[in-house]
Order: sequence, then C-alpha cells, then structure tokens
Amino acid sequence: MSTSRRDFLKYFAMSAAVAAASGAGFGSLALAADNRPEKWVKGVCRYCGTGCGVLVGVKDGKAVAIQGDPNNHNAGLLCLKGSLLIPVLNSKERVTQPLVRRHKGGKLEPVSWDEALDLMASRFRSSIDMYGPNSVAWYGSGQCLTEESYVANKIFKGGFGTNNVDGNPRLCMASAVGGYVTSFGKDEPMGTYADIDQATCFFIIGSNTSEAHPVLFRRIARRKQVEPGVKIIVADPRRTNTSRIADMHVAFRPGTDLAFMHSMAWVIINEELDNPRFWQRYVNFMDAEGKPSDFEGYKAFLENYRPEKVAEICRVPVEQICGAARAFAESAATMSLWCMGINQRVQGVFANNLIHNLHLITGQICRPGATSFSLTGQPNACGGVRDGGALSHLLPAGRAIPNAKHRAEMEKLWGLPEGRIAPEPGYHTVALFEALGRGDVKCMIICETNPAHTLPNLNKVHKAMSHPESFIVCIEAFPDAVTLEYADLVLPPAFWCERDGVYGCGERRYSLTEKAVDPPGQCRPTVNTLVEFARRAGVDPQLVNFRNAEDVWNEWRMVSKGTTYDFWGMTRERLRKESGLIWPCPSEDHPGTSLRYVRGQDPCVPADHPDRFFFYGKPDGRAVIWMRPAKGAAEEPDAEYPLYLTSMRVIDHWHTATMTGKVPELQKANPIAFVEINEEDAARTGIKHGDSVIVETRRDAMELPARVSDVCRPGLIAVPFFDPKKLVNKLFLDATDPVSREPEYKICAARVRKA
Amino acid sequence: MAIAGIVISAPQERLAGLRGSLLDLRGVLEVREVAEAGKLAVVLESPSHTLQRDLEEINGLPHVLMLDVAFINYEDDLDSQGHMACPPHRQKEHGLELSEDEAAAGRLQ
Repeated sequence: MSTSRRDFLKYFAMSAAVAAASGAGFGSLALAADNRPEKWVKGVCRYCGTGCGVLVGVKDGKAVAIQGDPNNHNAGLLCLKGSLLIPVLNSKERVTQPLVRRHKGGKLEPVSWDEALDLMASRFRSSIDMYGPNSVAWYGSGQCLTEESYVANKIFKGGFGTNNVDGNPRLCMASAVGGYVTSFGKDEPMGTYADIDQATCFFIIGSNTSEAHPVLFRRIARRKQVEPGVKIIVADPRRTNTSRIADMHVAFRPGTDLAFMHSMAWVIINEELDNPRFWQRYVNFMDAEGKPSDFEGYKAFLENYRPEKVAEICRVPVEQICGAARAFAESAATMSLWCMGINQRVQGVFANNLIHNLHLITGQICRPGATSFSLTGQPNACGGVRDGGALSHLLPAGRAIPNAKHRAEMEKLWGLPEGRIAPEPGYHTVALFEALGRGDVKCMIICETNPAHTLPNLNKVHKAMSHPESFIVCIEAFPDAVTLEYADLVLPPAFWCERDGVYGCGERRYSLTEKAVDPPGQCRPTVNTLVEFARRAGVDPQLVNFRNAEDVWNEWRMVSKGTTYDFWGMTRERLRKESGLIWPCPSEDHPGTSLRYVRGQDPCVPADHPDRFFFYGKPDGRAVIWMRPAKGAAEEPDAEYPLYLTSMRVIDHWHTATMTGKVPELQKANPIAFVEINEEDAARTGIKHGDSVIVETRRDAMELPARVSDVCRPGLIAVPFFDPKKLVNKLFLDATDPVSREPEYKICAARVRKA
Repeated sequence: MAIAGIVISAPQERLAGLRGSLLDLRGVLEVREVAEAGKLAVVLESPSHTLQRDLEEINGLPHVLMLDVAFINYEDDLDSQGHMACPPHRQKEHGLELSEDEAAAGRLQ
C-alpha cells in the first residue's frame, strides 16, 4: 500500500470513528467521502436480528472495507462479528458450483446448473404427481432475503398446493409471534429500538443481550450511563455479561419464570401500582381456559402466586420479586426485552403473554420507552418469514391458513383458482422432519440454514434425513455446513451483498441490501434459482413471472397494501435512498411508524378514533391479559438426571459458526464447545476447571471440557451450540410449545461426571 | 494490514489516562478524545488475522466500558484472486482465556 493511500485510510478511519462517537452522521464524513476512490454500497449486517446498517467499501470489484451506516439505527457502529463480515464474504471456503450426490452414501460431485435444475424439478414433479403435493416441502430461514422467502412461499402454497413451508424462525421466535398475536391480535412489537433511549427501567428476561445483540446492549448501557436513575433488572438463571450492568439480577430456577412474573403482577396489584385507567379502557381478561373473565378474576388467579410462595418455587428472595415489580411499575417508562430464554420453551407463548400482562396492567405500553419488545435472532426472520407468512400456518401480511377469507384474498392476489391454497396448515419444523423420516415427505429444499446442526434431538433428525427415498436440496453458501452431509443436491447461492434484497429486522424496519460485488464462480441469486426451478417443475409461469428481486418486492408491496402490515410506500427507490423504513408505511410520503396502536402515530388507527390507543388486531380493540398457569418444563430434573441443562450462546460465534468459525489455521482456531458448571456442583462431583466430563441426557451423551464458574446457578449446566464437532443439540429433547410448536431448547434434565 | 476506526466509551475522568494506555498498545496509530461524548476515537492498524485479538485486548483495558467498530479496511490482505482468510476466532470464555499456544495444542479438546 502506498503511503498516500495508507494515510488516506487512516484519515478515513479516524473520521468514521469521530463521526460515530459524536453521532455526527454523514456530515463530518463528507470531506473524506468526496476524496475516496472506492464505491460505498448500503446494506444490512448478515448476522443477528438487530439489523445494523452497513456500508460496504468496494475496490476493483471486491469488497474491501466495511463501516456502520451512520444514518441507520446503529448510528455508524458495528459489533465485532459484523465488522468481520468482509473476510467471510471473501473467503475461499464457498460452494461455487452445483453439486450432486448421485446415490445415497456417494460423494458430492460437480454438475451443471441445467442438469441440477432439471433433476430437482423432475424429482419434485414426480413426487407431487405420485404422492400428492404434501410430499414436498420448503425449509427456509431468517437469513433468506424477503424476496426469496416470498417466492418460495408462493411456489409451494400457490403453485404446488402444499402448506409444507416452514423455516428456522420456528425454532427461535414462533413463541413471540404466538404471544403478540394472542395478546394484541397482531404480530410484531409496537415499539422500536429508539425506545431504549427513552426507557427508565429495563426488564430483560431470558436474553443474553450482551452477547447475542451487542449493539443493542451498548445502547442500553449508554442509556444507563447518561441517565443515572435508569434501572436494569435482568432475570436469567445464568449470570451472563448482561447481568453485569444490572441493578438487580434475578437468578430464578429454570422454568419458574412464569410464576415469577405472575408474582410480580400480584405485587403490582396488591400494592396498587397498577394503572386502572389504562386496563379498564383497553384490556380484556381471559381465564386459564380461555374464557372471558375480569379484574377480580385475575386478582383471584394471582393469589396462587403470592411472593412468599413463589420465592420458594423460584428459589429467589421475596425482596427480588417485590423489588422487580415496584421498579417495573413505578418507572416513568419500562421496556421489556426478551429472546430465546422465553421463546424456546413448551410454555413459550404463555411466557410471552405474561410479559405483555405486566405492561398492560401497568399501562407501560405504547408510549416512548414503555414497550414490550421481543428480540430476534436472525436478520430477516421478522421481515421475510413472519411478515411474509413463510411458515406452515401463515400467509403473507398477517393472514392465516385456517382463515378462509385470508386464503381467498391470497388466491385473488396471486391469480389462483378458488380453493387452490390448502385449508390445513402444513407440517411445523419438528413434524416436518418426522414426516421426512417416515417417508411421507420425500423432497425438501433447505435454504440457507443448517437443520442437521440446529434441530433438537438431532440423532432422530439425522436418521430422518438419511431416509433412502428422500431427496434433499440444499441452497447453501458454505461447504462445511453439517446439513450438506445429507444433501442429494447442493446449489450455490449469491451471498449477502452479492445480490440485492430486503431484510426486515426486529423493529419492523425494512432495509435494502444493494448488490455490491459479483458472486464467485457459478453462484446465483436464489430468487433466480427458485423461479427457474418452478418453471421447470410445471408451475404456471405467470405465477413466477419475476425478472429480478425488485419485481418480487413490488408484488409483495402490493400484497401488503391495505393490511395492517401496509408498506406500499416503501418503493425500491426509496429504500435505496433511506437507511430503512419502519412499517406501517402506506404511502410514498409516509415517514414510517414508530408507535403502533396509537392514534395520530399509527396509520392503521383512524385519525378520529375516540380512544388514544386502539389494539385493532382484536375485535373490540382491547388487548388481553391472560391467566396462564405456570406448569414448568417438559422434562424436569429427577433422581436419575438431577441437573437442568440449557442451551446458550457465546459472543464469538453466530448460530452454527459456518460464517464465524472460518479460520485459516484450523487446528489453532477450531471452535470448542464446552459445558458451564457451577462451582458448587463441580466441587460436589470432583470436577475441576478444564476437566473432560461426560454430559448425559436421555437422548445422548457427550464429552466436553468443563468451565467451572459462577455463571450458572447451582443445579444448572449450559452448553453453546455453535460447534459442528460437538453437536450438542443431540442432547436436547424435541418437545414443543402446543401453540407455537417451538421446541424447548432451554430446559431438559441431565447429569454430568468426569470422563 | 487492516486499518480500523473504533470508538471506545469510558468514564469521562478516565479518558486522558486511557488515551495513554491505548497509545502504548501495538498497532494503535492515533487516539482522539471526543470529550463531549465521553468517548475516544482510535485508529488501529493490525494484520487481519490478529485484528479480533487486538480489538479484544483494547476492550479488556481497565476503564473501557464499551468498544464499537465504525470502519475497517482490509484491502491489503486480499490475495491476487480477491480472497482472504478469515481471522481466527478466540474463545472468550467466562473465567478461562486460552492462549494461542494452548488453542494451537488443542489442550481442551
């Protein structure tokens, strides 16, 4: 590098850092920007659901630099994972040509695109013709672009006539969907990340925000730094990094958080910290059987959750229950944040309802800083899968498969004959892989996700994926994904900014990632792959008459028009100019919506509505406080397996480490799974820090190095799931929430001994 | 060599001292105080494969509350095909840090 070039980059690096530090945005960068020789292309980070805006620097057709987008919500800042995306993009370790396994047990070998697509189309077509449309399936991802999920959903539900469309958001946020829908009638949070800057109390439960959503955690920490009175309550059985900034850490016994939240509600009501003016006007009460009740009924229900009793159940001090309740209710604006600890449970939907209950009984909702906000794990689970309806029971824009009116609307919008969309939901994820194992589902496309690594009870899943009659197509960028071991056909996708498309992050913000560089080798945009596959498989060409992702986006805008998800105003041109827009955004001059359900803020609330708040997802406009009984986990510890085992994350890795785990020197940098053990439990069993131990459950046993610390509470052990050499999800059971069908990764029974 | 622009948050009264500590570190080229925001803007030059380690070293300095990345340029580290290796990922465990040598030896595997 020449001195002048190096000097320029140093100058630019300092300018970007100063701009981000001072919140000055593009203005202070203008001089450097004018002088720079590269092209900067706007996009979104490829990792978590925070959806940070990025700018990718391109030189000589290659991505060479990255900076946070100063105009997006992350204000020019990125976490370490996001800032290391360029090496992932430029890695040699990519699938760059189609590969076929000509017989089960054989090796993957190169094949032309033409032959690959013909093979795929003929296998799907013959399966549908011989065994019916429900013999084929799509298993997608919150990492697919919105346009990719939309096209797949349309091909399978509208073209093939099967609702076997599911994806990995089922594993992480289906319970949050169920919680929002049952409490408010509509999915997705009512607030945005900007609420962090207004909140005076944070109730963080079942979320290790520090490691899973670092940019948001820093925003919370900044809020506490600049506003000394801000309180942070972290409720989590593990003493994570997140809890280190907390005023109160409630380390309840795993699975007792529902009792804990009911007890908080008891304190709030009995100390008259509730907000009758709010709940009398905007809330209905429903009893444990789902029948209408009232405030007195709720109060009587909560008598089972008096703090003295619940403190024993949760094994936390009474003072923590009372203190958390008072801080929550007495704060000027309380924001709840939660993630997998709440969602990945057999009582996941109920746990979500109880968080909403606390906001509804106190009126801590639909005001700046006062909101119940579900965090999400993937960059486009919200936009592409939840909003796009790419799950087995959903249709786009909040429509549901079992609803005949919704099916008829989609049939009209998609130009389908009446009755084309099947009235029964398809298989949810766990059931889908069970059907594959039975041979009921024969052909499946798995797109940008790694189910042979991530699903629970993995030995069962691996057996299912090995079914001799199965035909599994993987659209996958990275050759080391475990799932490829079961693939009959592998198709290479353009990755991240090698194609253009929209991501929708956790705050209802849709942002465009523009194409910055060409994909390597024979990689293609997945939209093109799907359209070509559908045509060859006999789908009506009119149904997939898309020339590119922008065509798909424009149809999807049209499908959203007039619904409560309306983003008709988000034209591609507008998304190119702006760093994301938040729906509803019904017209091209609409600025987007920060506060849902609020008159004068949300365009879905009539301007002349008599009430300030209107929960329009419910028939009478009232949200619901649910009396959900606390029942515990599907598999509790017992004499044989006396410990709780939970799944967790570490900051260094994202999901299955196919991206973050890439290393030049494999021996040095191979990721290592481990098991976290509390000091008391370790002492009792003679385990020392670094010892090899056997972690055993009713499903499998695994040797792992021990990390002895005070992070887990006594009686709890924890394992991270990123390591492909230690597929720890073999240990977990595949029990699911009866409403959301999300598996319970967070709790099962285990035992541990020295190896 | 990668060149990074990073933002360090620290208590106001610690900014001056921290500035000195940063300038003692390998690869730190420039540190500028953005005093009104309680932050330091830092330029770090580091080979891509040790960048994460160097960033974590900065993050681990006493009084550093947060480290954010604003900009990284990698163009020196692309090979003639436009490829580059991903940097190694160190485990950041609770209570146990592996040295590179330990990790290389696969001591805990």
